[in-house]
Amino acid sequence: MSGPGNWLRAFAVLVCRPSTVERLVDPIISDLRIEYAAPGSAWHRRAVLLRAYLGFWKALAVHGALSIGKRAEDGDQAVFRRAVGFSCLGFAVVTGLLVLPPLLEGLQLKGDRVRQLRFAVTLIPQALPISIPIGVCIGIMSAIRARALSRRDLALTLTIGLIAACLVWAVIEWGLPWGNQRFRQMTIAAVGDGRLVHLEPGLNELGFSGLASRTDVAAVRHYHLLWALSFAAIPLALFTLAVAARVRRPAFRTLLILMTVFGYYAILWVSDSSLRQGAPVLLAWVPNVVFLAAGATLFWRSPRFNE
Amino acid sequence: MSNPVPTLSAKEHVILELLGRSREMYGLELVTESAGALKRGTVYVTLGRMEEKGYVTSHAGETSPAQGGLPRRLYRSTPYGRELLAMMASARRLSLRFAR
Repeated sequence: MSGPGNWLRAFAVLVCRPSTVERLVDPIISDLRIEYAAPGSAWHRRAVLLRAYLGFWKALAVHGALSIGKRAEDGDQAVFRRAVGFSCLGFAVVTGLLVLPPLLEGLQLKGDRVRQLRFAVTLIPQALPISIPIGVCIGIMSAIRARALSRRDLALTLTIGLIAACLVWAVIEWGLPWGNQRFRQMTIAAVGDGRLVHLEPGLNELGFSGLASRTDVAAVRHYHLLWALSFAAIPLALFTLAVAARVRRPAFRTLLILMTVFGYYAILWVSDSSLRQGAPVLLAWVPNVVFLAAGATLFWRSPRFNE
Repeated sequence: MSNPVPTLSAKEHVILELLGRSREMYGLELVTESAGALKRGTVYVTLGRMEEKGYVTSHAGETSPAQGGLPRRLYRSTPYGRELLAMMASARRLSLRFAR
């Protein structure tokens, strides 16, 4: 079997069930090949490829989302599976959205594409501390749909939030310093003689263990901000749970996810600006405290929960 | 508990109408004929769901060298799908009459 779309099909065979490949992937690839083989200019063929590739990923995303929702039945396990499934889907989409612009920009530059791809890989750790908490919000908002809450829902939410917080912590400790340092080294190598040189790590190239030994004001501020950011998933998850139980309309739910995430990072930005002016480092925790307090209040004031 | 009353979404409605006009159609043909009502990214997902519900049926068509060995999937509406479409149309007419 040959022609455009080979690698898309190979990817689908790896991750999808045979029935999905047969009924969803193969018809899309078949359409792509027929359109691509039709007479037309090179630009027309490129447009065909672009449309078909976008269509393929959209179809796979929609099918994945519908399958997660469909497979889950009622019950705690099903809610947990649905929350984790949608969290992973949301996390993957948000990471893709954050990494795609610099990746596409890099691919447009002349030169070695493998090197551009390596540049993009070093940017992924920067996206994860943001995309993981957003993914959790999407997962919980999708799993809990305007219904009565129980203590089990709270336990489930806190578990997912804690797992996400541990992941973010690990990324900040190991992934982020590696990615940032590698990116700097590769940038200098690209403008220099191509060799990777040793660079002293700056604040952005240090994890918790590296920052803990520093005593200067900027490092202490950065250290507390990173700790606060690594725990963001827990208050955001609790707040999302409390809101998700009260809202039914999908459009409004989507808007609330966006507003929650935007609100969190807006407060974090204000805290960061205040810290630069010498405010106490505890201000770094303000967004977490605000969302934790708001989430807990909304949760315990829920009349259904109190029944 | 599943919903005992069958329903048709706007996209399912368009697909059944198009399949009612022609004997068999493939996904991209449906997208082209729908004049923007159907998108290539979701048409096969919708067709798959409709097949599970029993509104349409499909089979693999013949392959040509341009398809690189992959057959196109041809869809046709089932008697149940056509009956449902007719029912929806009459219900719509009835509701319009009451509205007047």
